[in-house]
Amino acid sequence: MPGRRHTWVRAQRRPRRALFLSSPIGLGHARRDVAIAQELRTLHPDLRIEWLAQHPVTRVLANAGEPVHPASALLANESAHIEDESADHDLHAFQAIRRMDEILVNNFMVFNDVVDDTYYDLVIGDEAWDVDYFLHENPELKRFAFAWMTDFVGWLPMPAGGDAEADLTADYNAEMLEQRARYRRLRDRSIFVGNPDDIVDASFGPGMPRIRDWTEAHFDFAGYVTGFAPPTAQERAAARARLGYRDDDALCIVTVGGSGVGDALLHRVMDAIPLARRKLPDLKFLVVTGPRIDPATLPRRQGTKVRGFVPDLYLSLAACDVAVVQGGLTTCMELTAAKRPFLFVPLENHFEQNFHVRRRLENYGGGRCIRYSEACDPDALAAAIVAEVSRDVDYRPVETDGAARAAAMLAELI
Amino acid sequence: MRALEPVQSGSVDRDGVGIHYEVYGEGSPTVHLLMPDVIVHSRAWKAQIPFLARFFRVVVSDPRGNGRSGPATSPDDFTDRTRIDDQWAVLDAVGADQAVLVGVCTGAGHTLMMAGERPDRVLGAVAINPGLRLTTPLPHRIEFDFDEPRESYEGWQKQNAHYWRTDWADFARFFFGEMFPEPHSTKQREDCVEWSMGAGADTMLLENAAPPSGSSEIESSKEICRAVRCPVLVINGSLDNCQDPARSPIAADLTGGDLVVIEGGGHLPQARDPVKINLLLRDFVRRVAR
Repeated sequence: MPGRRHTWVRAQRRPRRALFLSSPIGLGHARRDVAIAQELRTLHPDLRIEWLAQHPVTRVLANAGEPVHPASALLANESAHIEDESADHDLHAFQAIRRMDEILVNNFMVFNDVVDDTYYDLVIGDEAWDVDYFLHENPELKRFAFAWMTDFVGWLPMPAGGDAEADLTADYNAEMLEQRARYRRLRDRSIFVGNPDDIVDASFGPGMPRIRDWTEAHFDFAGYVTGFAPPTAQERAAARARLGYRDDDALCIVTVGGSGVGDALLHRVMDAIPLARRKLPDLKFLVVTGPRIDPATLPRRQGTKVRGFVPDLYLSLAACDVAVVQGGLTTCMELTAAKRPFLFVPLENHFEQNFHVRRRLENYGGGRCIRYSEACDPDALAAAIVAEVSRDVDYRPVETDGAARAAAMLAELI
Repeated sequence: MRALEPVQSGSVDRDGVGIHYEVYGEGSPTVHLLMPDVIVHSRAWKAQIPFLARFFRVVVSDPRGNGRSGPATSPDDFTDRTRIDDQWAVLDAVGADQAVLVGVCTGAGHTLMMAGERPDRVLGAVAINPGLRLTTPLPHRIEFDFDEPRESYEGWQKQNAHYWRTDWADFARFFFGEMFPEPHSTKQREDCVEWSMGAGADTMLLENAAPPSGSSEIESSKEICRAVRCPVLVINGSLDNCQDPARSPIAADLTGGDLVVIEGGGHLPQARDPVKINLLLRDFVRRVAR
């Protein structure tokens, strides 16, 4: 076996580098993280940013021309695991993440080798659960500034899980609180992507703090990060024209985010389309399956186009008259920012979509929630869609400076 | 979903009992993560396999009586001899003339026995909380009669043949609670309880009835250690409630091996502190494979 080789670079010769880790469950983190990275480069033009990332994040990064670290190929795919765990618009997110344990270990070990081989001044982990958890468990492995980002704090039990699940989420929360109390130095910055009033009114568990109180004391708040400037009226019109829709069409966009979990909801919408079009013949549908669902697997419907990945989906969403989406944070907030009426259908048993995201949408007044059982009734879903078309909305404006604020917090660490 | 799928899997026939094995990665040398005690199976190494397979060729196998190996039918299925020959048969089946052996508990004792009997085939041995009787057992392991029925069963009284037959799952929950004394080990305990259901009371009673062998006596256990010539790493959880933690330094002394103590760790640190154990294993394999 040949001997191992190693180069040690003298400290002053090392270029400034950051490693960005963007959660691969869905596409939401990718867009905001690219926007934050772009803002960070304006503050530190000499900073080299690399990404340790998986599909579908790599898809967004490729479109944005961002450099993906070759070790990314060694990561086990978290999105595939989450899809594997889901069934018929039901995803028990907490248990799915618990059962992802061997994937998280694998991916942390990949990360650990990457930061062994390359000197990074800063590691940014946007919901990089493996890195935050295992650094706290192995604090001697930290050799860079570490910034943690998240848009929710606290594992919350779903009612169907009963006391047993409540005990488990409380235990996970307790472990996190103990980690943070003992190893403050592990995170050089904790950034909440949002505002204090986006935080759920709940406790971490019996005898533990209120989530909002604790988060306010331990996080900095960047405001929401949409990752784009709000589209102008002209941009909206141009997007609509590009998609091939007339001004007098009523356009409904249907999208389920970037993972393959939304397949069942897409089929329910397909069931409702003929009924909705009977009520409103000018209603046209654009169904965007995302990069992990094959458009060819959906049935055909009159007045309906089915597309796979649409790079700047936010522009299309801003140009719609109504939308039907899953309860994922990013898409719901894109629609809220664009002040579009929309129906969102949270995944059953998904604590983040059912508690954290709903709390934030209530805060902005965005969208109308319907349960999946309601969406399974084609008449009810068709009626709900038609009722929302072009409804005047009065959402709270979504801030537009979140990426710059987050980048400014990160820039101080370099 | 698994983090990594095997590149090869199969079964080796041992007098009519199929021993299931899997091979991950294509590097060198071969690292054999020995089949654990029958109470669990090869998934007990799930946190090690994908990492080590990036560098080495990793072999795992299921013990007879659990996982995808054939059933155990006799106490003789659980002698050290039978189980060690099962391990050799797996190495033969995957064409590994030499390997680094890694074991936990009884399997850790087997790594040292195998190193002693075939020094030409064992490049190095890692023994995690070795199950060799180098000291008298921990008091709670022998305090209560295993065969005597009781009116009620509390704590280690559940280590009892009648209780096992009545409520194996509850024993498993108790036992793995003891095996993971580290706080916040819910997932590791749940995993082990689930895997233990593949063995169940009947198989575990056969194992319990296995005839004594070299690892059952203090002096013969010391001889097993003294016979080892290859590099050895002993890893010990200071709060191990299965094997007396005092056994690990004795094993390290007698083999001339290194000792790493996981202060505050329990019986199964490869599951509860996988990052630390993974890094220790990679360093050891690289060192001995030069």
